[in-house]
Amino acid sequence: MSTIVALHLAQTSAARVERVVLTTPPPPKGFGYDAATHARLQEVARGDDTQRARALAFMLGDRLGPEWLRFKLARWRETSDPDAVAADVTLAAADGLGAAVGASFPRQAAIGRRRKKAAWARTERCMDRNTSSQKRRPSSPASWGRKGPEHRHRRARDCAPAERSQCPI
Amino acid sequence: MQTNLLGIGPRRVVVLHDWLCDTSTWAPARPYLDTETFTWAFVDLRGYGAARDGGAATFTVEEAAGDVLAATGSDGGAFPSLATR
Repeated sequence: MSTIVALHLAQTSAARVERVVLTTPPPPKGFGYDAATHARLQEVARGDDTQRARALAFMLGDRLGPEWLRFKLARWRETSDPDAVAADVTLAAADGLGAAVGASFPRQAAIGRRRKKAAWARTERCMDRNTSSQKRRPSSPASWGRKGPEHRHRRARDCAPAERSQCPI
Repeated sequence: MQTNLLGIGPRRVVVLHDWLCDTSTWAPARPYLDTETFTWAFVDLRGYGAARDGGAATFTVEEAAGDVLAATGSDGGAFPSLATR
């Protein structure tokens, strides 16, 4: 979110910005979500913890363990005005910097690397033992709140090595 | 907007924060920052943390950028900016 603010400053007040360092930035031109996804995220911004947990699980999948999910939800609740969150959804998810992107200035972006193989391999192993309908990833935000995110999250957790012997799938 | 300063150094760094958070996220890092070379300005954008009560805020990028500029002082000095998503 503040990535967009920092990039905007660097472009509009270049004489005062020496360099920009970005940590896990979103795309400068926004995520490009469609209208339905944008509307759903707006609802979530003003929603309760349950809605927010489902949205985070949908967006981040099994990259966010249960403890981190609880931590992020608590931080969200304690620090953020829902109207600000909703406005930033529009900023980061849809608008971004628009046509202004492209000015030249020193910048560094630190991004994380997903452990695709480890995380998704566990999920796939379990999902391979299920029906095709259970394997299908929710394709639209309309599926949030049904079995999608929670279903996938439970799969990943239950397939963790320490719990694999008790995996119910 | 709320700004918390750390250090007395001549070079200025503005530290912003993650979405759904505030600059308290940086608390564990603060003891390790160079406070002689840099002055660090931790800025909670309107609607977050200490600035959660945004008043008549519009929550636009222009408004936030103006707030950050104001937090850096009016002497026109250059500053590096450190931002998080």
